[in-house]
Amino acid sequence: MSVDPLGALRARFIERTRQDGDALETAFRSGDDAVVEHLAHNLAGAAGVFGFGDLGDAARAIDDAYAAGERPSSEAVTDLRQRILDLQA
Amino acid sequence: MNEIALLHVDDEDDIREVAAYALELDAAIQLTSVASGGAALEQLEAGYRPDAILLDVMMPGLDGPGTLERLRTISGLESTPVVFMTARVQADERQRYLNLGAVGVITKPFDPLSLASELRSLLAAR
Repeated sequence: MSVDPLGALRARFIERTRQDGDALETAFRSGDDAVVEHLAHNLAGAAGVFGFGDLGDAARAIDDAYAAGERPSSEAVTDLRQRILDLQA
Repeated sequence: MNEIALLHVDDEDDIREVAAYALELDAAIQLTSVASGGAALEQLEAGYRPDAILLDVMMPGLDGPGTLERLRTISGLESTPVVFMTARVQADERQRYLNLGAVGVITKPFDPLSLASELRSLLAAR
């Protein structure tokens, strides 16, 4: 039986990301773009490290929007939120 | 392999943890991790002199470029190699970080199994 050396770290990432997902949704609804941008940016950089490339891409789309001076669409945020809810180790 | 005392600065817990796992695969890297530019400056102003610094770009409060600017004013750190780490990969931003004095930029997400060798390559190429 092989041991996944990142298994414990991945589990912590998932737990933290679920908490961040709650914060991201709340921040977007209240118009707190700084929080949304920060959370999306961090997720864009971290998700792929733990093997969740699609999640990272969804987060990067939101980060890229802010980098371009635009507000991400509610659809993009909803998509990211759902991907976070679907996260499993 | 040369021993390297490395200071890693990143506000994100997940990144610090996986980077610690990845960098400690290289037994010759002695790693110190801190969670903010301010914490990094505290260590450096107290006398810690790493051989290299791995520095996140986007951090709340004092960001990576701001941290670099401040640490360059500390005696003994004027030419310590700094590698930035960032999730934003646009070419113009990468060049900006090099223009600020970084010896290289590592993009996130990174491969944990090759992070140490990627860092060593950047440090060796300067």
